[in-house]
Amino acid sequence: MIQESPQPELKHYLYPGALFVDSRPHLVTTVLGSCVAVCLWDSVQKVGGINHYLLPLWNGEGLSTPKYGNIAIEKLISGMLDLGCKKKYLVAKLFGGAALWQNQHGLLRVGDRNASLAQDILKEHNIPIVASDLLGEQGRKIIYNTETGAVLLRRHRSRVIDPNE
Amino acid sequence: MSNELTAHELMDQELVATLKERLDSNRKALHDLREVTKQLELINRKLQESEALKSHFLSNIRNEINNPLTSIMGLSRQLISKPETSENVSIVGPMIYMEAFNLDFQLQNIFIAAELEAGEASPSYSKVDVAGVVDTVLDLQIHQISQKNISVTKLTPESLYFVTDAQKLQIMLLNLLANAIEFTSDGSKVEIVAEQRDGGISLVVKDTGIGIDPDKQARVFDRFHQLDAGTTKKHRGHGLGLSISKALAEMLEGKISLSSAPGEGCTVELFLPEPSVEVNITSQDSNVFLFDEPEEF
Repeated sequence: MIQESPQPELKHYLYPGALFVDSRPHLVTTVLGSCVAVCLWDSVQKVGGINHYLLPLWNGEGLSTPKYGNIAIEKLISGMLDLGCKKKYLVAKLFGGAALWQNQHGLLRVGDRNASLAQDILKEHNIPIVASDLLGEQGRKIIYNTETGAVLLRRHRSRVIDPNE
Repeated sequence: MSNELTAHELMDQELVATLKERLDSNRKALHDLREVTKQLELINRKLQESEALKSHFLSNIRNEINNPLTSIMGLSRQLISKPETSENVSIVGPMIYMEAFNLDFQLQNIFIAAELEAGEASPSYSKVDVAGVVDTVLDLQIHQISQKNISVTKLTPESLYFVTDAQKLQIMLLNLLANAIEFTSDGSKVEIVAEQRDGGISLVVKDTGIGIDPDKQARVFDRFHQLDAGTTKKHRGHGLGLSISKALAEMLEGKISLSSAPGEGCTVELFLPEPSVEVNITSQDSNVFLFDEPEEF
């Protein structure tokens, strides 16, 4: 038997506010600051999808894009279901939500709010969070293998503000 | 004995202080909760409005798409029935083009809005001839401009190259210019200024039209929101242009700002900074030196 190639050949760079769902195996790269990325993976079909949102909730302004967590997570889930995934086989991994600046205003910092929103919505959908690396003060770069569900994470060395802030 | 009293007194004071602190934090929490509830009510109202507008849009789309299509069919039939008159062609031809252009423009906006809302749009950066994009956009609107007899002043440097997304820039500019033309009365002026400044490019579209009330200015960026709505509305379109332009500008890390007063026209500025994302960022090994050793999850 021919051995499967260890890494998918198709690559995708996920921009902030975008969404990626594809039935073909991909390596998806994205860079996170206070943004959060939810990686969903179907453990039976071996396909994955990922989002990258900047703010927790859409407040009715502008377009309802996946820049907002509540839109991005629902759209990611329905995108996975459209691929024929079963909700009971979906597992999630969460990354991001760093506090890149101290002394942020507001009731809670945006990174915290982004992170807890994902936990809440996934809980509502009964999708288990099997791994996560959230909060802290460092940006992150992740490379998600949508075939194996594995995520390679590199932490930013310094607290440098990343592109999506 | 006296020592004990002092200790008691101290404890009492501490107790009072702690109680006061708790009461204060309770009051603060209550205040915060009220603020959050107020915000929630406001957002809830906006979301309801947005949903209502979306369903309104679906019923409206019939007019917006059917009317131009009916005109195109009727006009082209007229051409077919009397092919020998060249006069006919020179009059009917531009009319067909205008209707088709409008239909195409509206459809393009709808598709882009759908793409943006699905999270499928992403920037593709290249070195763009900005002055060339301005010319293209003016060229696309040339019939509308001449029909309304609008004089357009263009102030762009001879050559202005900038790293951005050419297609998205064109969509934004086309929408801004289309708005300026639509809301300017016949025979008036529209101005386009493009310049490089503060490490980015600034594109300003200025019209001398009806202007916008300051307290209504924030709403014009909401999807499907038209200040002049309902069955008697004078202006065509779906109220998508500015919301699309804003979302596209934000995708390119830029912003759109608007200044206007009723009766004094409207000035819209699109500012795009130099993209902070490296053009070759898709390469996995880029910036590796900035990051720690990988961990697997």
